[in-house]
Amino acid sequence: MLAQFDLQVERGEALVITGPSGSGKSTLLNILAGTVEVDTGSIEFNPDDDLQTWHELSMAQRTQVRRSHIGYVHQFFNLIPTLTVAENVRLVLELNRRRLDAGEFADIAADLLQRCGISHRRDAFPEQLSGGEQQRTAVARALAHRPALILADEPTGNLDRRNAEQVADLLFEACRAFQTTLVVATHSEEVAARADRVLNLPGLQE
Amino acid sequence: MHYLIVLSLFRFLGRSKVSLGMAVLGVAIATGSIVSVHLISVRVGEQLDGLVPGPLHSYSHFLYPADDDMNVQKYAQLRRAWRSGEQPLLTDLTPVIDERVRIEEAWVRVIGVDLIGLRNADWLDDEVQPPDAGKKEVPQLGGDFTWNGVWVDKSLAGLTSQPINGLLNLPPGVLVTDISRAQSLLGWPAGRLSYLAAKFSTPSGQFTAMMDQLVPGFSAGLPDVFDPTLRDWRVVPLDEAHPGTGFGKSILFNVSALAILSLVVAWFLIYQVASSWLRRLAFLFDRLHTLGVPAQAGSFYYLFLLGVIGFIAALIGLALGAWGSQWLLGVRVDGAPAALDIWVVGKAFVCAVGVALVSGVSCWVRQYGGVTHIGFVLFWGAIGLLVVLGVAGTVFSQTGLMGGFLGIGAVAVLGVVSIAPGLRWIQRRLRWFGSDGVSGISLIGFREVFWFPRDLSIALAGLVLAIGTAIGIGLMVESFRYDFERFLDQRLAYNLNIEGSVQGSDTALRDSLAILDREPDVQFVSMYYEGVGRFRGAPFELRATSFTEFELSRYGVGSEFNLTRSILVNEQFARQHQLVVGSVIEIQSQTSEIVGVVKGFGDTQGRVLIDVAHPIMPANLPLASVGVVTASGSEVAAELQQALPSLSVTNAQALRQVALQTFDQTFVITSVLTTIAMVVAGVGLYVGVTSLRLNRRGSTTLLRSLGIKRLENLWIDLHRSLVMGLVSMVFALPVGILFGWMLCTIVNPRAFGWSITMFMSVPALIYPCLWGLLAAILAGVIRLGSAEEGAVGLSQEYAGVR
Repeated sequence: MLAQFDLQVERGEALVITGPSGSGKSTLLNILAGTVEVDTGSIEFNPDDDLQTWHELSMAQRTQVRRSHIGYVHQFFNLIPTLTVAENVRLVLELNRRRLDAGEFADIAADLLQRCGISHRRDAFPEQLSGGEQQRTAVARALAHRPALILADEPTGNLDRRNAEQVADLLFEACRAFQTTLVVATHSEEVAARADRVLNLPGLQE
Repeated sequence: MHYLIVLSLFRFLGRSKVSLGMAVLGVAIATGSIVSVHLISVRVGEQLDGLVPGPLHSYSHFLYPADDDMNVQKYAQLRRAWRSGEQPLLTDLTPVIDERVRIEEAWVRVIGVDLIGLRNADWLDDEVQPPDAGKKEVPQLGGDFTWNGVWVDKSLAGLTSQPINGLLNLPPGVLVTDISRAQSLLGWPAGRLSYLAAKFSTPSGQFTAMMDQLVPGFSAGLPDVFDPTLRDWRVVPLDEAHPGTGFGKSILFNVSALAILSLVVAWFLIYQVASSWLRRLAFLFDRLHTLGVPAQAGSFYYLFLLGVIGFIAALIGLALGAWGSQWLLGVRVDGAPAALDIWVVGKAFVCAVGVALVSGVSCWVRQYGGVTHIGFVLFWGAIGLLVVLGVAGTVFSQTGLMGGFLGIGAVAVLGVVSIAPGLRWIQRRLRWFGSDGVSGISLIGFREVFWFPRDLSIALAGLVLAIGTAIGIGLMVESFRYDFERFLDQRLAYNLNIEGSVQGSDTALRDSLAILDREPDVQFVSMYYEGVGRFRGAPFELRATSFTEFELSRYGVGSEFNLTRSILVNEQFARQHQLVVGSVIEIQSQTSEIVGVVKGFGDTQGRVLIDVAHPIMPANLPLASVGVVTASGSEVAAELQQALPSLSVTNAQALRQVALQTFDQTFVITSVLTTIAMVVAGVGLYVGVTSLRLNRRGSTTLLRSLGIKRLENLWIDLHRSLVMGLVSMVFALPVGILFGWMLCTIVNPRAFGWSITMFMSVPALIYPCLWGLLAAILAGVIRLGSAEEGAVGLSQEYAGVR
């Protein structure tokens, strides 16, 4: 899987990875996030002109790079169930040790939630949200610390058409507005149509 | 097919080493504590049996004529009635003489029985015959048996005026002989007797006798359901006539009840393991069903697996218990521990395999049976019934010790079933509060406990029960100690206490008075005379002294009463005969008013205290001890000891210290059992936390993708553990305080006859909570195996669940 694979994604570029189930889309995202090791080859990541090579970094260093420069949107399990919408967003800011007071945290979170159209549910817990609201919250959280890279694994796979469009809008608009690199793994042709580039992974060969 | 399925199950166990280890460890420790307690109880029970003289041991009741004039005619009359078919439950009846008499300056309890009738009785086999025993002719029992012989315990081996036939294991100062010789020793006419010993055989009696084998001390917990009545006779049960045995059995009952706690906590532990295994095995059972294996076969294999766990745990528990009893006996009780017999081996297997199978059945029903209406009604009906029984047991003293423990059980069950709803209640309230100033990581840890009550409530229940019991027992022990210290301060108002040996103490003590009289520093001397009496057929200790102001202050009563008509009684006597201050009773045809009910910690039977001027004071009551108030205690003690070496002269402070040391040692077994329960609860909580952690794998993956570091993960675990510990404390505190109150005011009076004033000791409240908090923190932060790989024994159980 993913043998002889060479990929370069530019800052601000929106890349969509498509392919059949089992082709390695999610694995590729996990490799990019540094949560899965590659057997051979290397992954280089250059946020803020600070080149990082995954295999040269320890697990702790990779974790630090991930929390500072990468935002992640999953298909499921997107939100921490014991935190409210606002707290889920705030968590990422706290992890990045932003020296902000509670008011500033609240302002940033409010702004993001406003952008994502979820501010009216800021004090709700994930179990009280619809699928679309949960995913919009996840996008807000992924954007909170202004990461250099957003990885989204089937972000619209569990949503109806209207909500899927809203979430895709948010991701691609943010990518353009903040010059964030966006890598999305999806089966959706609508999402793929919005990308700057589409990478189609072939399925397993018989 | 069976072979392959069993093989696959054992492979499953092989892959679940940690959870298997936890389950076996928890159940084995609990079984071990039960085995230890049983083995110790058997040994203590044997010692208690020794408190009742052998010839009386096999009888269940003693019969006194209503007019207190016992003679051979009345015995013959009752015997004829019995032989003619009256009293079908009566299976044996024999006349007894049981009185005290002075022989060679020693007060000897003479027991006269029908030796010919008891010729082959078991107690005659209890002969102990040291080579130097008996200074006169000492023929061996057996071939040389003489129907009018004399047998004594070893403290009376030196008697020279009686032809001692042998030494027996008897209580100190007891002489056993034939009725005619007893009458001649007492100077009684030929037809006079003390009472009749009777044996009633009832189904309930046979049941309790069998249960006493299984749970030593069990009979002490039950109220007297069989209360035989005979016209013109007063019927006194054995335990009332010999309160020492009842007292000791009550201790055994309490300790056995405490040992069961570990098993209950172990149930909470193995239930969680069984539950997690079932989730993993459900997939296998479904596949087997698809292949044509009947659905119920799944439950059989599952229960078989848990039975194997119980079997292994029982074997380890037996070994642990045998070792534990040896260690505990070394700490507290003299003598070698009892050997493992069929009862204790059976008990270990029933407990360990039973707890494993019961937890398996509960999990299976919960998983596949769902919550049916009938199940719901049955469950809450059973809880309601237990609560009703518990309240009745607490309120009505007639329910005995068992009633008290039913009350404690009801409190425990209410505490346990309130945990999950309590967590949900807190969860709803938490939503009302903001989170400003609290970090997101801390919030995750804090809230997880309340968000997933199903995962943690069972584990928390074990810890709550363990902490609650530790608090309850701690409060009882601290309250008891507080009362006991005050009691000692009051009673040990003098500096020196002088006591004699069993034989010849009276003369030596009288000699000591002459020495004390010559001592200029001696300010005050109290003389204490001791004997026995009977009230309503039951014996009591009679203690006489001069009711001076000093003496009455020792008992905390005033002096405004008539010395010749007033008596003091201890709590045991008052409770036994349902008397209070102001009650007027008749002893030896003399009417007396009870002017005080005094504490009697350590008294194993009722005690009556009288002034030496009281008309029931026997003329020849022996001097038992002397209390001395002096400015130079050590010099006086040395002089007395030198002049009268047979006397034991004890400094009051030393006596106080010894008494407190004995008190503390008494509760060593209690502390060990409570600690065991806490350890098992800690292991249970670990299993619970592991389940929660694996249940939340989705969240963990998400947190990792957000860049949560190991230390931050540990921080979440630590917060979760702290909250678990705090929640346990919140639930355990009311449970523990209620336990303490019930032990002080319900169980102790019913078991031992004394009451304890409940004292809210802060250390007793705090220490168990801190230990519980520590157990929770350790359970929360320790990870066996790699957390990254989830190799914690239950690693795959929730895969795909969320």
